[in-house]
Amino acid sequence: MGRYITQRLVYMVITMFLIATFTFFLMKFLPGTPLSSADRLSEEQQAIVLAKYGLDEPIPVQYFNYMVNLLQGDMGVSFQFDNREVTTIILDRIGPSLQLGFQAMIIGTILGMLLGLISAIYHNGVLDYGSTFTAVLGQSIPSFVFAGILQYFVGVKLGWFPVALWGTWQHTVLPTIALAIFPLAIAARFMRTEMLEVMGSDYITTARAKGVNKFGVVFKHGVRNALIPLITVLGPLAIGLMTGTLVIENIFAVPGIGEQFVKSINTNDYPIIMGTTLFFAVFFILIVLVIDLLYGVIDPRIRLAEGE
Amino acid sequence: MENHKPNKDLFVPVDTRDDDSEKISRPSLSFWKDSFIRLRKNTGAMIGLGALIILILLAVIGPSMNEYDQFEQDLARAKMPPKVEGLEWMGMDGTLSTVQTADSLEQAETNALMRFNNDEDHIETNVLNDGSNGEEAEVEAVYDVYASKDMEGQNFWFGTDGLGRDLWTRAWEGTRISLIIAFLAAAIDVIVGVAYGGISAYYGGRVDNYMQRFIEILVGVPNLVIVILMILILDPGILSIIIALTITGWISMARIVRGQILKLKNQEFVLASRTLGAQDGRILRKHLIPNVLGLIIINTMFTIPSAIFFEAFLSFIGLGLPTPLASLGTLVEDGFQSLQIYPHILLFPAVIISLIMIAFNLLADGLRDAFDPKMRE
Repeated sequence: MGRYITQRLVYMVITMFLIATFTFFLMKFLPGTPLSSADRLSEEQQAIVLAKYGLDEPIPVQYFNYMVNLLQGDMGVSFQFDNREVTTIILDRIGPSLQLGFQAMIIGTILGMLLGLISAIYHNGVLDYGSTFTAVLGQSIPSFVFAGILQYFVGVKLGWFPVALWGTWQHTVLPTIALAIFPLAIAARFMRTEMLEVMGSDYITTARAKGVNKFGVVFKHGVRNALIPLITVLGPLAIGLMTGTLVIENIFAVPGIGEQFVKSINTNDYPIIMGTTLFFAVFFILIVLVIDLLYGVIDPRIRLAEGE
Repeated sequence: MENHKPNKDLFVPVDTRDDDSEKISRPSLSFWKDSFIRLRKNTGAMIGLGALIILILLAVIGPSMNEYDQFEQDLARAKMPPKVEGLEWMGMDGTLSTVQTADSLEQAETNALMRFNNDEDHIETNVLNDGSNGEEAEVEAVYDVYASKDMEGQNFWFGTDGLGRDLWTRAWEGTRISLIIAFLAAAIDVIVGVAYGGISAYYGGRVDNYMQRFIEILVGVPNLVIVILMILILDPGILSIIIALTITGWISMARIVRGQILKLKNQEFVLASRTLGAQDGRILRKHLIPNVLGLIIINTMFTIPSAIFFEAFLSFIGLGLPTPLASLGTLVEDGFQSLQIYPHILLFPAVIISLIMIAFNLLADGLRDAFDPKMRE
């Protein structure tokens, strides 16, 4: 296990280093300079401005400085908002994104698991077909289409919840539902397959033969064993949610990271684009690492295989 | 119950002949025939296949089914609601309607008329609640947009967008472009992934080791991040979207192919072929890859819808195709701008993209079940 963790950490560092390097050179080669109205400044003034931001140094020195700054959490200054640091902007906006993501993740996976469970218990029955169909719809229909449906029918026509913006808990309802559909569908399908497999195994037959009632068989013996592999899909789900927040936050005008990111793309605010990209990358890598380690801790078979 | 002994006369000895035991009673089925039979029994997959064929046909011939061009702008006919002759009962009658509530009946009526620029000749008002019982008055107004613009002879089946472009034409042009992007991206994923996975597994040893380390580093890079960075570097367009989608898209294919070929490469048929003097390339192409084809097809069928989704996603966040080109993503994004008043602009592209995704997923699920040898009866 120790060797496995070390190996994973080394890969993580390499990946992050590559992404950071790639981002730096991208910044250098993208068209446009921080001096957007450069022709109005004299040579000396330009030199002063460039020196202030360390842009007069040779590229390798700039690269070194960038890396050192990055390690200290300094990702530069936004072009669009004067003198606001990218790190502050990201930290300011992380709250709503995390809240939406967590709510969607928890509601989605729990409801999805229930749906999958119902499917498995009533295998090949009407309820099974119904929930499988729901899962296929949820997996296929893009989240922005759901967002549109919710906004138009629940928000505009029925007026139950606010159509957009952020503030009270009512504002989180529609975006959370729109985001939760995808994890719900994936969890439902996965739970169904796992439960069917578990319910067909010998220890379930043994439990039944001993006279355990149906509830006990399903929950004590079935669900507990079906849950272990579910952890593997949590990683891809969390990443799917990250993609989802970019769109959903925009549709519902939620002041989160995703909304800022899209805004920055449209205003060519490169420091924010790069900073957010790096942030997403680090977040992604950490989630995958945590889930892999968690999986190893929970399922002893994995640990044994890695220990060889 | 008494144990009853059957009469011996009931039994007739079977006429055994030596050559009978080897007789083939059913026609032999190849893997592909067998899979196809199972696929045909899967209702969901067949519905998906049917829907896909219809959607692809419409994407090919749809734009030329009416006289409008996808780029033809005319502000005089902007935001026309959909109108199809014969489908008026479905709400596609070329009218807009609104329900206005106010304290008094007159006020509600005025509001309803105001909503459609007071063009009274073409507005039919309908009192839903005259407010006499203490509730608020409700007036419904139905506005015949086609009549008010003197365009009763024309039909925009899906309506028009904010610049007066025909949405039917644009929707199917957009479907065509989205499908082209998805198919090309999937094809490149297959070629690169199969070649990479195949070579890595077949040569093994140090080659495999290096190639796998490279993949492990790439896998750590989030797809989303790479796609967005690539689009920022390249000029927006169909080609750059395809490149961005394929730059990490082939990895899952390479891993699947490698796993399978590792299993297959030590089997006797490979040894036999090698003994007969076949070159490495030939063994890979003629013996190993055909045996992995089922998995390759399944994986591709899941890649295509995710490519369609990613294209739409990119368009949505402003990194998609440049205007005036239409793709399903740009059309959906366009529709959100005027969702509250003109929902039809969002409706049709959203329905089309959802249908495509559902159809592909159903078909892919069906194929996965059909190719799974465990399902064989």
